[in-house]
Amino acid sequence: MTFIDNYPKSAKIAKANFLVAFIALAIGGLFGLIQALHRTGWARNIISSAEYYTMLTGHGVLLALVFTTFFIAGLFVWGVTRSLDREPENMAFSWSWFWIMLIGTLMATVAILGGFVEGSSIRAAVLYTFYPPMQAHPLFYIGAALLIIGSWMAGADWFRSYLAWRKEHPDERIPLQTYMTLFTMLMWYVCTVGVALEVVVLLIPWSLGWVNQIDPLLPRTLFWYFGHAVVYFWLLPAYFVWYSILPKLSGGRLFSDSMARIVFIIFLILSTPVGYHHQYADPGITVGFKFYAMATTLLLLLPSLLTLFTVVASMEHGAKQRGGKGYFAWLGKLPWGEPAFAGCALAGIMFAAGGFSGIINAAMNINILVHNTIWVPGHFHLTVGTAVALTFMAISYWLVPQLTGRKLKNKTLALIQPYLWFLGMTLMSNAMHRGGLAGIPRRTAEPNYSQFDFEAVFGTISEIKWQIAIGGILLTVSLVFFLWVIFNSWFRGERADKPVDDFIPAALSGPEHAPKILDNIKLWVLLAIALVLIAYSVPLAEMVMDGLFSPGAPTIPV
Amino acid sequence: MDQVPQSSNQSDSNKWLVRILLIIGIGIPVLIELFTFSGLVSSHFFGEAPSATNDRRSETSAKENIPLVKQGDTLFSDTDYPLLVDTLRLEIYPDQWRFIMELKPLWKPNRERSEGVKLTFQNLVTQQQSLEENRVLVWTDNTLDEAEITWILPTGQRPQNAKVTYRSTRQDSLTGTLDIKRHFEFGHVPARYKQ
Ligand code: HEM
Ligand SMILES: [Cu+2]
Repeated sequence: MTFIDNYPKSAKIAKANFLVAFIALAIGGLFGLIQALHRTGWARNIISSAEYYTMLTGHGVLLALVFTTFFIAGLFVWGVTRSLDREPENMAFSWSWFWIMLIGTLMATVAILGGFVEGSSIRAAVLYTFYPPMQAHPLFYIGAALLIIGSWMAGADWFRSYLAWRKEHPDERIPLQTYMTLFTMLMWYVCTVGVALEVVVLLIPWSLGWVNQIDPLLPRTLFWYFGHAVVYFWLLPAYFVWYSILPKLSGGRLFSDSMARIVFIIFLILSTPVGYHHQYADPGITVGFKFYAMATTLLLLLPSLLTLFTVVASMEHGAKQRGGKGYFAWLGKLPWGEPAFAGCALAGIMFAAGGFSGIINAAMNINILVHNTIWVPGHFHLTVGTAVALTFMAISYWLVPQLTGRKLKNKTLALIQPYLWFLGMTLMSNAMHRGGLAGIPRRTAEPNYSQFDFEAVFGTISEIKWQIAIGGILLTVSLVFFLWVIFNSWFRGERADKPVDDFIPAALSGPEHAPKILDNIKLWVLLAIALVLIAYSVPLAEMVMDGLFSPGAPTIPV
Repeated sequence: MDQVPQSSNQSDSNKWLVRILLIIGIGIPVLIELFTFSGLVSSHFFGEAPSATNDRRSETSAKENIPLVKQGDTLFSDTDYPLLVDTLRLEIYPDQWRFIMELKPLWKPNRERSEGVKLTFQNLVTQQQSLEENRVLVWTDNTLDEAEITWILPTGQRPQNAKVTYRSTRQDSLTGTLDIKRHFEFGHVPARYKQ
């Protein structure tokens, strides 16, 4: 008996979400390869340089927004169902959020892909950050709005399950997986307010032609109000996996349940007030608020370091259960031959590297050195592109069998896949970081303009380009392996009663050691809102008073 | 913990695969990062310090000692009739690039003797071709008007240099006309996208 037998309805909806996620991953990954080859000059004939931006939008949206959101929805359906031991309260409601998200995604995708059709008026080469001055077809913005609304409903669905469970278990602690889901979604509610306002109040009327002027700063600010928290919306589900599943995969148990809860609380309260760290170079925002954002950003290192400690301690516990010894020798006892474990562990190692380059980005002064250079994609391919994406891929090797009741096929390919991703990403991301130090811009189809040579700090630019292209190719091969393994296991796998060992043992230090206040949802939400108000109320009020749809501030009579 | 049991010979071949994967999949990345680190450190401590004045572009043209023409420069400042480069710009249209240069006299020549100046561009060289078209600008005495030259370039072509003759005519018969031939090397020309 595995998940699909115990919770057939949840399994079905989780599978539907995963299917959409994997299709988005396949298309987005292909686009990534073409971009890498185009901008390094390896292959300029696949697309034109004008189409590059359509493709880049497709890559960013399909991977960073669609793949992540759908995978997360599937993962949370699984986690809430199994940890509360109940299926969704109302399947019609569950399917309706899925369909709303899917329809929104299809609308936005059609709008983007329209850019490849010559003469089409439906286009959306606005990149996944989609703020003005670039404008997309209304279909794109409406689609994005539907995706967000659907995700809100999904969150409501999990809260509903929780409340129903609470009625039957008035005195129990919230089970950890549900706790992590609820706190992630609370953060999501706080931050998506910004992007929803941006899209519905500003962008949709503008793209429909109802207003024809727009103030560039306000929508940017609303976007970045959402834009940093969204990275934690991607990351926290990876933490969910690292806290609640990875210890088991290492052969042990979670070290501390309360540590996991504390970490999620810190993310809820600090994720949103840091948005200005994406606007260090924007005029119109007082430096004091930027400084506040920098300080809170650096504080956010704390929960990630706590996670590092707790997860490594849990893995060490696991390795010692398997006979590991010493300070470091136990590392050899970890199950490096199991694809799900290896993928999560490699993703975690890469996240540490991403954290280091993130500290550079976060520092107001050094940021200027790398701002808008290809360093930035170098950074986030370590974080969302690997820490999140590789964790999701790896844990699929463990989840898909539970959801389908079929055994994993092509285990050798599955094992090679995360190592290949790790190697490919090291090549690509290392070269992107170095290219950024040389000043090579991001989001540029042909960065090599004439009469100017970028100068590498060491080595040569052409070597950097080689490294990006080879890295991109290895990543794509790894992605093909992943898709092949999942496709084969899902549709051609051998049926089994218990395709994987899906038992998750209790934490070493369980919720009974966690202070009760950690489960006080209202308190933490109020604190989060208060910190957001401190960061955003004054600057936003200034911008709104400047005029919603008028670029630039009107002169003030004295 | 109960592990899924594996047949021993499968786990043997698996062991080798894992060893190879660890060596290649983690070993190479570690090497790359070590090289990067040592490269950064050694270029920081032992590399050439970048100097603020040392523009890479001017290094190459310094060989021939030809000054780069940039917007805001004054041309022929060694004559009575110096010319200011008021605008130097590439306008980028989907089907063509336009190179635009606007010149204007810096001041009225204080010696009343000059009758004006005639500037002839004999050609314009881009990376791939040389446009052999004569372009002439004339300022007669006492005008300070701006004059503009536009070259239509194939897309993707940037101006590199031009041959120019400068002729100023003086009234005093002693010197007559002054002819200067110069070679302009264009520096950075800002580009603007146009619909
Ligand atoms: C096959 C693997 C991948 C390859 C070869 C690849 C390649 C690239 C390249 C070369 C760029 C930079 C383009 C530019 O700035 O001009 C880029 C941008 C980006 N990639 Fe990837 N990528 C891959 C996987 C991923 C994954 C898994 C994610 C996220 C889950 C991701 C998210 C992004 C985002 C958000 C951007 C920025 C788009 C923008 O600037 O608007 N990529 N990718
Ligand atoms: Cu951020």
